Amino acid sequence: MAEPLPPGVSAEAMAATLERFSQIVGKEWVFTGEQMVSYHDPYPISNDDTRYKAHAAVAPSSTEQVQEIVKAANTSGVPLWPVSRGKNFAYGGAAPVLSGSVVLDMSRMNRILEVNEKFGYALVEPGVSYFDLYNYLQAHGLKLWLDVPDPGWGSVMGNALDHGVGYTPYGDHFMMQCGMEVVLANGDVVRTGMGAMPGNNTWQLFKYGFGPYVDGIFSQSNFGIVTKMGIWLMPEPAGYRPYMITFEREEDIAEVIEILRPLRLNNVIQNAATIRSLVLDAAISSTKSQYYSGAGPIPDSVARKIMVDQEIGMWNFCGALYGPPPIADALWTVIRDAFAKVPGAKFYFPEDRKRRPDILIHRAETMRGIPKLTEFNFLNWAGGGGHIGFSPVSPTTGTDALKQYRMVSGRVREYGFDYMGLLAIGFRELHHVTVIVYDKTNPDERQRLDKLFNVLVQEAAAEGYGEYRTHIRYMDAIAGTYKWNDNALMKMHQSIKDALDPKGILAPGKSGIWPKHLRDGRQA
Amino acid sequence: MLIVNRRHFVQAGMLLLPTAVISAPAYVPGRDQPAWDYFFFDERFAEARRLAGEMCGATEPTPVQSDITAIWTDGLGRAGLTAPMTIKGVTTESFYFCLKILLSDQVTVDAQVSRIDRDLHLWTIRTDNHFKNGTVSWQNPSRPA
Repeated sequence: MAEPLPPGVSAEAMAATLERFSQIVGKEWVFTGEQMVSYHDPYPISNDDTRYKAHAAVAPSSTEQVQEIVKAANTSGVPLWPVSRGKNFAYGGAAPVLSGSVVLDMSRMNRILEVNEKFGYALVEPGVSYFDLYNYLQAHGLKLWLDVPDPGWGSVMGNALDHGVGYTPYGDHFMMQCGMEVVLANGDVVRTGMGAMPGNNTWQLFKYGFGPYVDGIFSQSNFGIVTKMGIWLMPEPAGYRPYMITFEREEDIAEVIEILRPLRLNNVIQNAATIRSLVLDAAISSTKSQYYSGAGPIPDSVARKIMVDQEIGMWNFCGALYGPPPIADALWTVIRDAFAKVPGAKFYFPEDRKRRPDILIHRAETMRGIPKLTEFNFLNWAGGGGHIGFSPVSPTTGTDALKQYRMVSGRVREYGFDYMGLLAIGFRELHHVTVIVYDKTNPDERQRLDKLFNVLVQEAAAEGYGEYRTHIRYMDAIAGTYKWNDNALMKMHQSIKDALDPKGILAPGKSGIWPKHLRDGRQA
Repeated sequence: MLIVNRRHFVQAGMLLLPTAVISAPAYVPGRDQPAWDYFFFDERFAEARRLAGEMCGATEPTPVQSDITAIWTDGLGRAGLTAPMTIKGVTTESFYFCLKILLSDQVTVDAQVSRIDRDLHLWTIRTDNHFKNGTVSWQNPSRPA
């Protein structure tokens, strides 16, 4: 199948633009035809093969080349879809919202420009992965820890820009970014915060500079292309002690969250801890067929067997203590005593876990910033290898947690899938990340998943729960739920879009933000 | 560049896999030259064990349990840069998927895969030593701005 063209761009105009891109980056860094396979969504949902397909890709090696590419795109009107490393697989990978876009693949821009041990930060380009930065820290013996999300091959910058989270005390990645360099749609380059002052030496130390704080508008957006970003790194603590607490009953989640909230608000629980569901944890080391050969979700009797076999609970709270042993001892006493009130709660340190592989042994590495790919194991649970995340946000209350769990798990099971979820604990909110694993080769299952996802979005929104991040297929749907005051926020986004990118060449449709010429028929 | 035996890399990686059984030598004595540089099988499944026995030829099969992290970071990643490889496996899909993506970031990859049952895939990946015109995070010169 020939690669699609974007609306309003002729084949001749596209060819001329790609020729210009070749002059800028060298023809070996412009990709078309069979080379485009790696830019497809690896877990497609749509059964329409023409959706979310890029026309070509171009891979620059410098900010200057990005500027020239943007200028050329502005001349021809060819839309660009920037990706840092394109590894955001559960959300579409490198695939664009708008078919025919040219992927701006920045994975060659992979320099670690600075790591400062004294102040605890790194300045990186988009192509730097967690593996890269971790290896750099290890190779140079630096006493700094990363905070990693689950896939270690992702971009440090890309994950932060997409509001990704990790599991150490530095788990909110965008909170830890400090200072950006951004290429605007007209080719201009700006540096944010203190970076705007020539000769300043606090670009990665103080976020705000002088005047409006603009970094946020370049996250989950299509207002500019970030080519450098500072990220704060955690000083290696004097001690580290991971732990797991298991809970036996589904309804325990309400009491657990009520206990957890004050502990997190007061930093007794220091890290971005998680409470993971039974099947999600079981799927790290086993597959469904090893326990159940029937159709549909596993019955309760099977769930009980898994709990016994793998020494896990219906809910499993993985956290860690960071700091000198006396401090960790004191914190642990408070945490243990608090959760001991939940009937059936069990407490584990890594040395208590004998089974291999084991969920705490695995999470213990993640919570100390070691990049891994272990979480991909859960894709094997039911066979077929596709997955998508549905991730509404709620307050840290037991009522909300239980309500969300019942809403989402009920629907997920009704549509024939197992509930695999986790609650990522922020300072004041929960990201309820529900992973739906499906057979990506089965058109009927993809269609069923699509229906389920749209139902989940609407039902969550009706209860006031909004998603923090989503797959390219659902960006319009999610954006449509943030509609207070006659879509005032989207209207503001569109005003910014029109001002910064009047020809609409940067990532049309990202986060539901479309350029003026493509807005017809779309809600605003 | 230091070139270390590929087998050594895998063995080092497997030391971190608690259930793996590492056996030397790299190739089964008395058999023909190996067709595969590596043969991975998911030791949890009887069908994978059976197929590994049938298909590994002179290559000592390496047991895995889905997670590729240790194998990759402790050596296979670097081995993939030193010479073309042919790798075969009977594993879960995620092992194959992750390996293909990781190798594709570095070199040109030709992959064939078929699904055997609900859990297992039979696959072959061939790489060449022509560094891919694409994502190349392995370069990472980390030079100053």
